[in-house]
Amino acid sequence: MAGLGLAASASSEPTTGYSFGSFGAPGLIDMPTAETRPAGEFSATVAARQGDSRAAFNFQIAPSLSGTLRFSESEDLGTGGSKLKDRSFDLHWQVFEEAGWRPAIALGLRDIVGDSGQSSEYLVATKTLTPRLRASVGLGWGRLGSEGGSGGTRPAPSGDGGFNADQWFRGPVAPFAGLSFAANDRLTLKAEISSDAYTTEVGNGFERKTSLNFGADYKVNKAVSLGAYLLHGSEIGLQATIAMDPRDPPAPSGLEKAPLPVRPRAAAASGWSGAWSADPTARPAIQKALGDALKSDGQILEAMKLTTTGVEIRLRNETYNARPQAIGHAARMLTRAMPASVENFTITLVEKGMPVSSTRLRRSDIEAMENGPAHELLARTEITEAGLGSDGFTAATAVYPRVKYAFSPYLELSSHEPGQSLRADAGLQAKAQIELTPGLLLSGTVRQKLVGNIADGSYSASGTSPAIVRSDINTYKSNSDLAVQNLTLAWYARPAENLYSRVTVGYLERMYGGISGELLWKPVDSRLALGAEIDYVKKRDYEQHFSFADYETVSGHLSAYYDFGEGITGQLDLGRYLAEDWGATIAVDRELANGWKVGAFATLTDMSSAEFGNGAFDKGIRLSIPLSWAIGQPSLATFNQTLRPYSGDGGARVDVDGRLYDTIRSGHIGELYQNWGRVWR
Amino acid sequence: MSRALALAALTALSLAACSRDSAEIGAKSGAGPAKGTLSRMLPFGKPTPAQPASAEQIAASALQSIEGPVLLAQFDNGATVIFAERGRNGEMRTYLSPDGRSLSLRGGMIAATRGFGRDVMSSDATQSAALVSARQGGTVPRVQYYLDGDGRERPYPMTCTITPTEPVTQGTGDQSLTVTPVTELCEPAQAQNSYMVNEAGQIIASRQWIGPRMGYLTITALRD
Repeated sequence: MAGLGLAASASSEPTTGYSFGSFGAPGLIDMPTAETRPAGEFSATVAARQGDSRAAFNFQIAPSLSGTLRFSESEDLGTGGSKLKDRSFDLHWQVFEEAGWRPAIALGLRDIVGDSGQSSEYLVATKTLTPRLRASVGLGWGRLGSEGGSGGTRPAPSGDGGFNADQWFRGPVAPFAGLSFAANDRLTLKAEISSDAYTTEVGNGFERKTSLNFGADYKVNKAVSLGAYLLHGSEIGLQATIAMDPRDPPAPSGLEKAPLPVRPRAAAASGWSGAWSADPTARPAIQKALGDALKSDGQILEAMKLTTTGVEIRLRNETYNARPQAIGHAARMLTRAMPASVENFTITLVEKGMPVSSTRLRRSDIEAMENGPAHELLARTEITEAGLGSDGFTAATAVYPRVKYAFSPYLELSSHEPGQSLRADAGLQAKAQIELTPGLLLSGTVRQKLVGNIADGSYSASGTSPAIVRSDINTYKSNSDLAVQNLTLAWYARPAENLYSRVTVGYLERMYGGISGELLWKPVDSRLALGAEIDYVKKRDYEQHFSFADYETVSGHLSAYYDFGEGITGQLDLGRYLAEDWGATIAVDRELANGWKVGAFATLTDMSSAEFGNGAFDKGIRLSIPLSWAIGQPSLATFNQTLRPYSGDGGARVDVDGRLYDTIRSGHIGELYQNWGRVWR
Repeated sequence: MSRALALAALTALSLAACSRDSAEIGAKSGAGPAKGTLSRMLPFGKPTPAQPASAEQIAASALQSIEGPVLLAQFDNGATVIFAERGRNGEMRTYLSPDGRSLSLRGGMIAATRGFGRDVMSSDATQSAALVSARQGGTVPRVQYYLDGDGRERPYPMTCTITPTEPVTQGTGDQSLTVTPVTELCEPAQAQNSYMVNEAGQIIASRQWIGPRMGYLTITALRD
């Protein structure tokens, strides 16, 4: 849709890279450029040459800022014939966009937390000379200042896995330059003069015959590109990139069935008088018809309150990622099911048995504005705190107890440990849930590994931490024969206005069992939410059956959540973590209206970085990709992944399922407004 | 060997991951539609449809089996869809196809589509409709709304120039039918809509632009 001119005008757009460099970010071959990728784009690049392979994940966090997480294995960088297995993180900031005569200018840091002495920094300018030709020149420090560099000495890396800030932009600085030429829409040719001396590699037998590198990149389609390069006249490398733009889904959205048309009331309809309400058979018949219609739409009518002039329904959406779509479908059905005298529609969304918001629509507005601009309907819609209690409601029969189960395959990756390769298991997973009454859920997950090599690794828990609470995660992952991932009884409720509560008892996650209680304050129209959680947990045995290990603790947090708008939310947690360390977690997430969500978090506690070991403190990124984005049909299914560079014992929390804020947020005003465009879909 | 077997079992299972829900939610939307979508996304193995029936055959059988107003809609690639009227709301008439897509027309002009993907969410073509119906020329604004890749509603404002041409009469006497071809060129989309308008000012056939990457739909009213 961007090509349509619906987005911002082209002149203010950042200089988008033609292709990816060998570090998995926009660039030439080894040298960076000042280019960026489309905001929000995710890409994965695999690059390999003899003795060196890399897998890099690049995310364009903001139009001018991107981050790259890279896993590499290199014989050329190892010592004594061993491979260097490394994980590194880069940041790239386009300080100025290209404008008029001015080139785009970017600053970057490669391998920010590295301890192998391979990190580097750069300042680079890129100018579009013709629409197909771009030139870049820059200055490099660290590795990028090693060939032809001069001036100063670079401090040694700290080696503790923390930021190497005292190294940045210090020591010898060297110039580099390059050209990229888009020969046509698919093929890009690249050449560069490298300022990287390959010092360690040359020591291990790499031949650096020249400073010139050449590369070519071929775009197979919108998402996939393949590349090859000749490095320093001696080595040939190959690479492949898959790029996913969350704003450009693989399938067009809206392949679902069309909603039912609104049925306007005829002036002569018999229902106008309201006399129908005296008929005792009317309400049950209406509720049954509406419930059946909603069921075939993938929604559950939990309860209904019907008066002569108004109706309120409690609606459990089981299908639509965008809640306004669920509301719109229900409103359309109400126009078909309700007698003519019923003018006020109140649609209350229910999540895990808790009413989270009430959307009030006037039937005459729905009739007048069907398939009109969604924002016009929003202006005549009122979204408020949901009414609590069941006064006047008639609950639907035959919904509870509700039993759900599913068998599916699963894939699991080992957590990173220094010196260990990335390993994976695949197998079968059985999931079951019994909802006894709305909000009271018994659920469990069991996994059986079929293939994989996670158990082949040799893992060691932290040798420095005062308590082993998370650093032995790979030992749990190695035990995957009928492993009980979780088995819990959870109770969700609304104790008072603006308050939500959860109590979960049982095997909360693969490593801990116990009891977890949570209370959340979140007015429906508030950007701010406050929460408190307390967990009493015991560590489980490695087999993950029903016995416990010899560690128990009380962990608890006070949390503040803030919705900054545009899908950005921040979260701050203060409290005690699993290793009985005290501290704070800060997290920022960005969510698009189509459900893509990316976030980063970091936790600092009073556990020292020496006790934490590799990585110094807990941090990571998390990613959610909705299935609906990929297939163009509505679904609540989401692929979630959290990536941590190191799993340590400091700042660890119990991973209990169904925390309140994420459970209710999609039904509150911020997200309802963001997704409102789908109300008539 | 056992690994290969296990892998095969896993693959088989992943293709037929099974689930059950006592509330019967989502029972129908299992692997079926997802599979269809997958084949649409993959570059190879595009399904080759069986020899399609001609538009005339489709129209004849639709008129026989469906009661009430019926539309025949054809995409430029030849795909033909029958729509039957399922809702009337003021001037808007909504037609549903057997495969669950819908087309809403206001005075014969596309007001909204659903289930096509990249749908027209809504359209305000009131001024165009007035000129087309009156068979008069002029330049007027028109706005169509879409969801962008992010999922937000975006207006696509256009300026449309409407040009009627000479009326054409077919047949003689009571059987004669006089229609006026009217064209509408909308910028910046470069969309060229064309309409056949009868003497009562009704659009009886048209070719209308749906939106970016969707192209045109040729709509014929088989029975009004």
